[in-house]
Amino acid sequence: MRKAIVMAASDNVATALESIGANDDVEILSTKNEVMSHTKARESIPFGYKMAVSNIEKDASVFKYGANIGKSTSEIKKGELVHVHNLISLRVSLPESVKKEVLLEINYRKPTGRG
Amino acid sequence: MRFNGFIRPDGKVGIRNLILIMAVTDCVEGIGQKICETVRDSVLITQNHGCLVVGNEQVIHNMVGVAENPNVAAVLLLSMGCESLRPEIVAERLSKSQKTVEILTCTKEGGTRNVIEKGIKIARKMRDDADKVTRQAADVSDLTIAVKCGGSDTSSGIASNPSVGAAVDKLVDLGAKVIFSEPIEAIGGEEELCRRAANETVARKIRELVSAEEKMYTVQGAEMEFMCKGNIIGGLTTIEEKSMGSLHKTGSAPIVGVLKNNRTVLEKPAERGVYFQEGTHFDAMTAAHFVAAGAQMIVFTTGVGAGFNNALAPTLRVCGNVSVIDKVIADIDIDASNIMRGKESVKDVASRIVEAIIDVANGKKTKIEDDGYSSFVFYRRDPRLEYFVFEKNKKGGNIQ
Repeated sequence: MRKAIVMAASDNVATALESIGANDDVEILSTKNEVMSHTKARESIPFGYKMAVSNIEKDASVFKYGANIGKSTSEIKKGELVHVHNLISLRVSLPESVKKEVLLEINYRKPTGRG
Repeated sequence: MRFNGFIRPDGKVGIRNLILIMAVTDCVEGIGQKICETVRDSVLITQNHGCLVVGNEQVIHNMVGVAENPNVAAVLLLSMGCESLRPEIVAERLSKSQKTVEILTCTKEGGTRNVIEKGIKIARKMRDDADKVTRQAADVSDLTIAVKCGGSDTSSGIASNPSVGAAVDKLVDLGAKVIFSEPIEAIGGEEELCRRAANETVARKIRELVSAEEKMYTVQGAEMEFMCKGNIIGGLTTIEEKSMGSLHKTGSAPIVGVLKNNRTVLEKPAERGVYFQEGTHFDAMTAAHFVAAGAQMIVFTTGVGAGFNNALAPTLRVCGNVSVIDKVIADIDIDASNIMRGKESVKDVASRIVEAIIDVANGKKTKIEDDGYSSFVFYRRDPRLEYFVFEKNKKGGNIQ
């Protein structure tokens, strides 16, 4: 059982406390170490990266620490990775070149069955 | 809570007893290095923004502030002789501190070798005099502690920053002043900060400070990187996410002031509490700002185990990243990774941080102290950029 943590009850993403593989079962913990729920990861979630804990619509707000940390740029399914390919800031934009480099370095592949 | 420190003539308390050699322009940096090499516990700082005065006002405020820092026992100012930024400009403003300040000008001393020889004599005498000053009883309320995060990744927001924040709460309770800066890392967290503002004036200044920083990074047509690749590889996606994690290191105590650091003025904290300092988020430059505001030490949280080292303010490293901690532990003063493992609480780690701070104040060296100092860099906003981004449109601008 892999572990991920939600920082506030209203968050729709959890942060991986260890590397999570595609199809791994994940225990979602609160900051007090209580088990809030379980989810199946739909793809690899590297240590420290975010995984959606509910379905997130396109252009919807993403919440972490109970705060709005940006908006999704595509539909995100529960259990999928949330990072520079589907989440943008509402305030300051990351240069595209940096995003591309990051996705290359983590070997990101779109999960099968997604257009 | 007590510790033993060096009580300076102006009443401020240092936790180190250093001789400061300041090259007021880069032309005399080499001379400064030769002097510094031969004098134990001396630090060379070079001002790299050219030798002019108009346009360098912010740098001059910071040079004075750094020399006033109580970790500095005495100051030797070095100059070439042709600069507008004459060392007397800095020396005059140091008279209030009552520190020993000497000036050496290369062209007046008959050149490089002469000024090096004379500089060594002066600096060695300063060292001998400083060695005669012993530590005396002081209190945590004499401490100004700066907190910064860097090499941030998601462990920063979950382990290291919250434990530093809890330590900050304890230190403020004991009477200390705590400074944080990096205004870009308040973008997305302004409301959180304003909620803690001691009054409406402080809240307004917080909003102005963060808004001014946001403007600097969102100039139409100019793409700018504002968080390093390490952050993003570490899992952080947006500045808002980084900010919310970052602000945890400032604890929950009221924010009692916003400290200006611009071409008009450099402000220092007066009473106990948490202060937000105008500045930047680049490590070496933020550290210089902290030292200029009187911080005797810096508590630095690192996600990836990386960081900077400051020659005037001992820098304590706190790391909570379970994946890298074993590789970097030699540089880390406080291992907070058990929080990520669910084995230690934020409160437990916070207690260890407070203890470590008192130890460092008493003279214990941090893990990286004495080994490989980062450059001491004076940050300066370009007055032309400031004009175009702020004043031309008469909107926003520096904090009032």
